[in-house]
Amino acid sequence: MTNADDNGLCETRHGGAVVTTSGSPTLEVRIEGDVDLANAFDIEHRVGAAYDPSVDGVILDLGGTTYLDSAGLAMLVRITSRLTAARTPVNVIAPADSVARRVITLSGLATQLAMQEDPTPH
Amino acid sequence: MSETAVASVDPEVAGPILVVDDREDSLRAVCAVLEPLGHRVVAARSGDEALRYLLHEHVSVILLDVNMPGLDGFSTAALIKRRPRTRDIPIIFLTADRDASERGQIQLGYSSGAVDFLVKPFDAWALVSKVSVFIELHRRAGQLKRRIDELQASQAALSDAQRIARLAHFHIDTSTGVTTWSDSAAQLFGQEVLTSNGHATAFPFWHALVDPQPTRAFDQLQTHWTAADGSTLTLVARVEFVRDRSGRVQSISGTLQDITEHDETRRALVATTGLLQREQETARLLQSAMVPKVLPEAPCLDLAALYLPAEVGVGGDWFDASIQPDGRVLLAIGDVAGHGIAAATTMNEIRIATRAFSLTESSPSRILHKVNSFSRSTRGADFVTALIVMLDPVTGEATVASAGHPPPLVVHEGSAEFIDMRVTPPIGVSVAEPHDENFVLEPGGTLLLYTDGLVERRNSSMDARMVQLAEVLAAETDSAAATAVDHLVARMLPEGPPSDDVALIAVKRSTDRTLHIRLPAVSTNLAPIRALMRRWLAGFGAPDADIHDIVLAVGELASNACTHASPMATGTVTIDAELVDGVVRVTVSDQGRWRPPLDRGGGRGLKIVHALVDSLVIDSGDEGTRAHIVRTLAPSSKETGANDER
Repeated sequence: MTNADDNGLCETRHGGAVVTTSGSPTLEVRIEGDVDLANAFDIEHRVGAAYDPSVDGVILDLGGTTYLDSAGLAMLVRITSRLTAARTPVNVIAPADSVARRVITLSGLATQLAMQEDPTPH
Repeated sequence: MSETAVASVDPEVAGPILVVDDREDSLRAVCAVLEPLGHRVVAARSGDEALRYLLHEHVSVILLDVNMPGLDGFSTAALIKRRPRTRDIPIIFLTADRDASERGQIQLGYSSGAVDFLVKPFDAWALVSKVSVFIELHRRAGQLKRRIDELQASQAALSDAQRIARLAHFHIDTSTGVTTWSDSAAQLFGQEVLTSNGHATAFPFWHALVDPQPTRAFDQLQTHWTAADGSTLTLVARVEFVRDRSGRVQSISGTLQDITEHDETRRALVATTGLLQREQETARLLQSAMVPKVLPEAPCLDLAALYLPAEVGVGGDWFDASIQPDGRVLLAIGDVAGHGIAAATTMNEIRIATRAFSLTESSPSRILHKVNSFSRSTRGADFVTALIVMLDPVTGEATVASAGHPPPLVVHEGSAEFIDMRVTPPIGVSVAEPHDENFVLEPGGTLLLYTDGLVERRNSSMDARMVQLAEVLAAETDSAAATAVDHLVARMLPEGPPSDDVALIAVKRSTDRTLHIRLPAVSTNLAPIRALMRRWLAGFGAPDADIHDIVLAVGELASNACTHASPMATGTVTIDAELVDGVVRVTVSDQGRWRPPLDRGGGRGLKIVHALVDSLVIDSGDEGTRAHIVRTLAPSSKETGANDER
């Protein structure tokens, strides 16, 4: 199920998660709902499809993510390392009290994922 | 890859039959047997070759040899079932092993996605008839899926006008005696046929049709009727009595359908092909293909089900049980009027529609409403009763809705009660939306869903039969579900095969407060596992932070079971949890052998689990792997009786 509106906002559903992508020059990806083994690869493909090499950066917003496990973390690591290799700056947004923040901290990936607590103004 | 028997079959309607066998003689024999069907037959000589072919081509049915060098039949099937594009293609296994059933091969075959099994050397007729049934089913399933997609896309655009042009509905309120007719009645039969209070006295069969005697011999009749203009119509009349708990008739609804044209076409068809003889056998195959052979093991529930065909042959009763993403168990049961292939195919379509709508609709009444709209817009005058229950296995909270179906029976501590519910007309009769009724299945309680074949018996009133059913089930308070079902059948149907077919599901809720979940180890079951864990912990009043951590730890271990332990996607993951004195102990087991160092994802999963729990112990042996975790809840909370209070 895909819905796109005039502002380039595009919403897709992958199992228990809804992914919204929008914007240029910065690509913003909002992942809401549960991310697990059942949908991590679908979400990765969705982000890949929304990515255009001309963007000046990518923001992955996990503020609305209600569940994130190691399959979801592995997906985040794959996305960020691919973007870094393509010299595209990437920010992972996970507010201090969020579900995503707790999992990322427990796994020791906070530094690697270039995490921020709030969206970067642009 | 070779092709034989090229015939003029529309590829949009039916793809070729794929036969996979490493032995040339076997391949040739199967192709020769299938040739008269007129479908294209494609041969592959290994599992790999078949998978490559399926990457680009669409097929209707796959015949798969079990014993092949390299990738064997089961592994090939598991890979086919893993790809969304090929997941729904029916697979029939071919095996030369006469003892297959005793070695658990058939069980393994069904769990890896087979719809049927044939032992070589097989009877040519059995092979041809099975293959043709599955081609037909596959074609119908494809049509059905497209229809459901269209329906959901266009939301309410349901133009019934054309379909029901030859169909009139009526509804009699027995308290007022007023009969209401659909507008189509006057167009079909002429206004003068219907009197001012709605009674259709011009129909000679009217009084016999609406006679509510419980001993009446029919609910459906076919008759000829001569209209005022002298033309003779063939009419099918169907009627359903909606009764209250005591069996008193509250209202009568039914349909009159003009099948004159339909009837003539059908008679010509039967006359030329001798279809009727084969119909019964095909219907039996359909029924056995469609009723689940193995019910899912529902968390904290003991589930048993049974289907008994009628004396005269297979009818249209069905049942289904599945787990929803939110962890609730969906139970469905239904009855399509009539017998034979027409009833069996209708049953199949309604069953598939029920499953499909259960994914988008959250309550039983909404699912039934959607199935009703679907049925009315696509099928016309079917007469189907159905009942859907959504049951939370952790809390026992249940919601039920019925379309013309008899009420469920609940037994707890020796007393049996029918759920008091408002019954709406059967599917296909009206646009009335069913109502949801809530009830709670207490710990140790048993819920029984059944079709009317169990309680309708010539020469005895339905009332008395329902009282008897309640008495019989009340005596089974302490029995396991399967025992209760056996005893019910023995007591209610002592004379053997019933005159109508019977379907039954019994569900018994566990008495203790431990959590037991066993589901196929596939990633789509992770969401229901987490939802059940969450509700189970919340029932003890556990703090949110503890719930989140435990759910994450169990989610990781279950995810591990899906990734490593089940290469053929045929294994299960089992979760056993208990909460005693503020300490939660959970064991997650599977049939695979994985060890901590093998945990992929850089060991991240187990690292997270370690950080979340007091202790993690992993045993790996020949039987599989068991991971045990212990976590103490925050001191402010302790075990409460919250679960029991609901």
